[in-house]
Amino acid sequence: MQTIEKKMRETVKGLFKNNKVDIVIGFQNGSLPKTARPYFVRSQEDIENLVWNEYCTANLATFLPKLFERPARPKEGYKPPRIGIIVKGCDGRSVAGLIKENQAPKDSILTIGMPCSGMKSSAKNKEDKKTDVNRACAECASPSYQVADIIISGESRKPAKTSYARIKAFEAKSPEQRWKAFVEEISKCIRCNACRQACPNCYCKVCFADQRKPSWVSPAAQLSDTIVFHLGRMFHQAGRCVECDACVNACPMGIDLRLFTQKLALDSRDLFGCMPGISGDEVPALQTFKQDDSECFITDPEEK
Amino acid sequence: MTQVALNKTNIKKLIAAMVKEGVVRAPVETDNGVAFADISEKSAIAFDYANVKLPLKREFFPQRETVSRFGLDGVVEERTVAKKTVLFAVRPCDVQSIAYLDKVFIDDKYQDPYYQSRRDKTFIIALACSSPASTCFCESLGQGPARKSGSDVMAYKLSDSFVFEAVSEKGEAFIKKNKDVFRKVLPKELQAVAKQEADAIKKMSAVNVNMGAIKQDNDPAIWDAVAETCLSCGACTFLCPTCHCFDLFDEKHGDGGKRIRVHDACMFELFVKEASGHNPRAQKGDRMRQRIMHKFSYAPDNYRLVFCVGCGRCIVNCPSNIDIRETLARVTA
Repeated sequence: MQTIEKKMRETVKGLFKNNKVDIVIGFQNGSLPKTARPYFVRSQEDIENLVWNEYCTANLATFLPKLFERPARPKEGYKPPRIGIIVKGCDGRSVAGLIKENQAPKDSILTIGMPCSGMKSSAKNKEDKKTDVNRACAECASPSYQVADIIISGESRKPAKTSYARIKAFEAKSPEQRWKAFVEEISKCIRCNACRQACPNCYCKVCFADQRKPSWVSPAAQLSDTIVFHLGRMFHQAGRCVECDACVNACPMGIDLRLFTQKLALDSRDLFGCMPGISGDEVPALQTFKQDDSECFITDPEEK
Repeated sequence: MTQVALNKTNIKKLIAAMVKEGVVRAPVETDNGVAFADISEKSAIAFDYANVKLPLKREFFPQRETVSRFGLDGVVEERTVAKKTVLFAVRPCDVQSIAYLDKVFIDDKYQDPYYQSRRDKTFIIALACSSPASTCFCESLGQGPARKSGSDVMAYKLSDSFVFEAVSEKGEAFIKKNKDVFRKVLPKELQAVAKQEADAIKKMSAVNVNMGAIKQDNDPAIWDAVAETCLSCGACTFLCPTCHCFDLFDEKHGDGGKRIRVHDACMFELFVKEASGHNPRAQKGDRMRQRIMHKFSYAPDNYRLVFCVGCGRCIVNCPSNIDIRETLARVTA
């Protein structure tokens, strides 16, 4: 891990020395034991704070859309910043998605791909005790981002064959049981929006849940509105969610959002052959229409 | 004030005494951490917790509250009918936060009827901290793990007994009324109480905060740097025991509807956005500045109190681990 960290720092040093980037987004040690947190490197002096360890859980791609937002009154000759970003497999998939969706200009981004051996949860996050890494990492199909602009060599976790067994077991329950479990989970929500804000895919200028003219969803943490918020947010992720669990890790209430976001991933894989950020450079499932697109999820959701 | 003791095995007697006073709410273990819940003599109270996940303010100032109903025949103001409640085994930091919110919701000029009705009917038994979390820093803010103010009775949990001390007149009356429940406090128990407090203070993180240095004219670049990794979510504010900003929102149903009060967060991008489209706090740094200044500068100006109790919830729950202790050090340097 330490040699990887050293290589990473050397690489970032080189980028600043050769004036290739303005900012590098990476990790620094957190303020609590066994944590790492996002960190913006803006100059050579900051590089010594960059770390790489098994606690670098956050998905850093979530910072990109804001950094590329054009200022209201841009100065003459405004150019978007050149950003280097330290990526695990999941961050990389998110960066690819943002580029595809025109939220980040490809030419202004330099991905630095890390060998990822899986990340561990912080103390607040009660995960499956069976694995020592986060569930998202244990089930990750592409732990390192192999098409990164710069690749830091090292040993990665073996790609997992995701069986989606937990989702399939959930699907096998009756609609009443599923609804009950869903409502039970969602009723923990306090509507702090941490899931949305931590998600790289949630970059809408004004989220539908925040719109007031008209108001689709009440801001109050009332169960019916909270359900609409989560359903709305999840549907917007169909065919786009990279299963990074940024939402799960951000949630202060420990809501198991993965149970629901993974269902989207499973359907988009099985019905449309789309695995965001993994299956290649195709158009996202919801942005295209093919004659033979599966419709069974509308016409016959219980059978496939 | 009167000090009494109770053997641990007799805790049910105390619960029975509290149940006579009203609904008893105390911390219990849940799947999702320790939370306040209605309890009875049969319930297992969680005494050895660092703190409950959700702050105590929600008992008095719920996240969602109907303030009026409207329809074709006019507007009817909603009246809150609060039940008599006993809050048992509350951490001193959370009790302190309610003492602060009293200044906001019940002052000489304005009284919030919703908050006040609950506050008037609530009896608080605080429980001193014996094992604070590493993120606790109440001592640095002049409060400490056994601060009594704000509570009616202060409780200390020792190895096989509890010590209770009346703090308010209501507390004094409660102890007198239930003198059969309690026994005399032993000198060694009082020694243990003092030792417990000293030990708890040692476990806390010390924050050297030079409050006078937080100034309006701080370089904005400092705030931009502090807030660089902020995600603009509301985890810190919603879990903060003293954050009290709210929004009013009309929920319409057919010809009528309800006006509700909901918690709001100054860290949300749309918090102060104006109808014209102008946003006075468009940048994350502007919003971070507001939150920190409100607690450590505006509140001291208005109430002579720092609106932070040092509970550490924002430190533990921030998705980007923005640590308020570090923030204070940076902006007061």
